[in-house]
Amino acid sequence: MDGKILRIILLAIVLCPLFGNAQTNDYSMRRCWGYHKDSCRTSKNIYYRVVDNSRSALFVKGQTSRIKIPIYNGRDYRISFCHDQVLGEGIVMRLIDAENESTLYDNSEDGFASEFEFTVTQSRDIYVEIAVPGTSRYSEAQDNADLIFLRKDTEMGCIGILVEHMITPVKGF
Amino acid sequence: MRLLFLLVMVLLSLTAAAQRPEECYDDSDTLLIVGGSLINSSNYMIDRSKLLANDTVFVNMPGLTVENFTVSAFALGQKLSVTNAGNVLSEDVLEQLTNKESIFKFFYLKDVILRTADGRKFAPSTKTIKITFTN
Repeated sequence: MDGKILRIILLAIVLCPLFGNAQTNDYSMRRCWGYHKDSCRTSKNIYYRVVDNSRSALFVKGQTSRIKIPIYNGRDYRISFCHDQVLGEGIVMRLIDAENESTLYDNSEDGFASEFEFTVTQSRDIYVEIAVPGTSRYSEAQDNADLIFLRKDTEMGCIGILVEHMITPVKGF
Repeated sequence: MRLLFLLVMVLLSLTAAAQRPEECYDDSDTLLIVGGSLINSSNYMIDRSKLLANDTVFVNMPGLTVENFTVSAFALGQKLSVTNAGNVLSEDVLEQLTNKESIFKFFYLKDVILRTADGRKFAPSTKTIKITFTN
């Protein structure tokens, strides 16, 4: 009898990590939480520090979403994004002036680069806008009644936006 | 009918072979000298002051020379795209990238146009080299 209990306990110990891994595909458990910390590569420049405005989110194909971040004069910024392969290539990142909605940078003019570094000469708020190409039931639905289900394996995935900054270094002597 | 098809295929392959250049150009042959060092990487980080007027784009293949190349840089709300004649950075571009107030943190060297020794245009290099400034 004791041996049977011991076997059940051992089996539970072996299976627990397996169940834990299975949970990583469960979107109801905030799967994208901390995605930018785990998946996005930080700069090789050691002076950059990650800014708290960095975010991760679940995206559906065809979806566009933005976050607002303040940028300060006298600092260099590196804004990069990483994403699940399911979302495909050609993800657009735009930096938009929050005051007048003018586009300050569009990565579609830069070979869909996944990182952009810049120096700030004037403090302001900007939007980092991410647009995922393609279509899904989410992007085609007119209202919630049209949206019955979304395929987790082919229509949605995580995107992380990593914001890093450093004091603008002095150039020359 | 089958014989005719085979004959057409053989002729087509012979035509394609005749059009192919004798030596295939490999993009890894496009090289760059920055600050006296040979750069053999598509993404390179340097101190801004190390970018010099005599830095050169060249090809590691006898008989080929660089006719021109494009420097492309992006900053917040600004874009720079200049085609440099020859294989060195023009003074104007160098000034824009290295002056104390420069806001460009990186630039690309791309669209390298090549020419053979007898003056014919060669297939352009599709290699893009990104130079990121550390300061």
